[in-house]
Amino acid sequence: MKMKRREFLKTAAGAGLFMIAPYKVLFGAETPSNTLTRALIGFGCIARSANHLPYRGSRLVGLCDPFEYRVKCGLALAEKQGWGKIKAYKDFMELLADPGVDIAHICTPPHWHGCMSVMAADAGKDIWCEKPMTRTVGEGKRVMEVVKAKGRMFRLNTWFRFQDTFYGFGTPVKPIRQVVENGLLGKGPIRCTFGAGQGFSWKFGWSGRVNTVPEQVPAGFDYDMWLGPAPWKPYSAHRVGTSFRGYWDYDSGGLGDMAQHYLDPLQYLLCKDDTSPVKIDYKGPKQHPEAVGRFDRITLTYDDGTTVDLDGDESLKGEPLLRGSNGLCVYPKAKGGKTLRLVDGSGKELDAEKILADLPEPAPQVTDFMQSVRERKTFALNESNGFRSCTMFNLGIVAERLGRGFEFDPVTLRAKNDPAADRFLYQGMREPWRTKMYG
Amino acid sequence: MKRFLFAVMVAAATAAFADGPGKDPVAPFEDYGPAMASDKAHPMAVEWQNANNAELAKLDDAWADGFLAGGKTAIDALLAEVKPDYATDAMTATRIAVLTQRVMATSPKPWWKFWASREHPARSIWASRLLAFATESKSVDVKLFFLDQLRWCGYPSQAPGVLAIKGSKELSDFAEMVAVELKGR
Repeated sequence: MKMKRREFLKTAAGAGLFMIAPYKVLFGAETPSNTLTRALIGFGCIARSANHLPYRGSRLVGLCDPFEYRVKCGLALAEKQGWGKIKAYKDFMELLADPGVDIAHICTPPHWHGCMSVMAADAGKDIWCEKPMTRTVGEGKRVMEVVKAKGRMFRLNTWFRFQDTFYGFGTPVKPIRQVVENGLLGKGPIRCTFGAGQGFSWKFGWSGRVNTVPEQVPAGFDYDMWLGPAPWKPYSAHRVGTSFRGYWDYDSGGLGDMAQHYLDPLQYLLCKDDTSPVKIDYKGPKQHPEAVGRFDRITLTYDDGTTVDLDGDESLKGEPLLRGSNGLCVYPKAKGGKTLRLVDGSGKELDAEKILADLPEPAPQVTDFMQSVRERKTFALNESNGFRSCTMFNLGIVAERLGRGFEFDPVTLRAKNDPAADRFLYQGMREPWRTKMYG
Repeated sequence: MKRFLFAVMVAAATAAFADGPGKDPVAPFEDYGPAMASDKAHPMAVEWQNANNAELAKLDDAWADGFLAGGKTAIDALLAEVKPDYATDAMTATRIAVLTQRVMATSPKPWWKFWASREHPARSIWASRLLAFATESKSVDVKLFFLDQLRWCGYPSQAPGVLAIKGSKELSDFAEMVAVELKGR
């Protein structure tokens, strides 16, 4: 079997036989011969952002998209941004079959994420996948299994657990983790609230039309490929442009867009990367069967009593992000402030800066995916903890669609005594994608 | 103000797509912006929910059980309102979805009543009428709608009936998917 290029490089470097060419900035990366290569699957909106086409940590070698127009856009933009002439693949299967591609970068709508991740892992690629990790719990479980079995490296395209300001909270996640990890919030359950009051928007603008109008499929667009595993429905531009977010078949509105960005760091700072909520409660209107609407409140409860309230109707605006069992509260950074705010049970504001300075740092994380790929070290946000944080809101989405709450078993990954909920957690797929995903 | 800022974001994002030749046939955010809200014939689900909060709040378990007690006559009258081309009245579609979920509710039973079923008493008739309408309708879109409901409440025994539904390749693909779901994942 032909040794893969990357494996050869590792072996040769280890033996000290391979002379790495002098460092040259050709594309803002290392020389082509020892640079990891990456190809984009999907060239819609997100593929143009910093972590995708322009990302210089690896060499971009190609892309594909079911829109011919977007392929042309991508090629033109890639050349403009200094990548030279990259390859236009006929489809993502051709991309995955190319031994010259090390990393498959999945930039499609969520209904494709699970199947493409599994197929990429099967093809021997490492995977950089847009969030949400998968559209359902069933798909996420399968991705986790296959990525592990094939020994691939996997990262999700969200990063707030290890860098950047945590949205409107105003600080990175690290100090919040320090507070939680060092027991400052007491020994009992913690109450978490996520909504406008805490600096997080649920983006209800990502809503579908209750009556889309069927239209002619545009020339140069492979609608069947765009749909992939999703059920076939009459084409309508609103279902397929970036507004795909508003349709249950492909995504789940603001929850699908933002929840992994918000809840993955929360899962990390709560030190719950290896478990899932056991109870999900829903408050809000009944949902249209095609188009995603709004929710008022979704509450996720863990086995230890810790709760996470997703505050859709902003009725919890005054709540802190975290409220400890001892009454200590964590609030966003104030305007002009230096760090998060800590207020004790009597309402007294504490010197957060001083308290944080005395706390140990959290354990380091692997935050460079190229390092992860080269050294085969699990990335900070990988298929396992990414599955768990994705499951947090996938459970919420099921409650939304059911119009009620239910219970979940974080070990069996099934709803408890609730076949209706299980049907949403484990959904079907069109062929041939179902077979490619599950065998 | 929020809508204005969103429209500015839309314009910026749309401008970012002006790189290649011609026009993106499905430009992102094409339908977004201030014009979105004015399309009364095709409202966004969030707007529609906000405008119909009171009516939606009535669709609780008591309503569903009361409706289902009306039997085949009531069920068929509701299902007959489904139209092709996504044109089904949104409240009708939502009522159907609510009933599909309601029939999946299970009831607790005393330990000694081993012969009793926990299944909702209307599940069987609801699922059978969904399949009947999917089979008998002349419109592919309408068939799709009913299959899309049957997948959440149907029985494994209905899988052959689902597979027998023909009309187009797309419909057959969908039917195959639903049949696999009904037989168990």
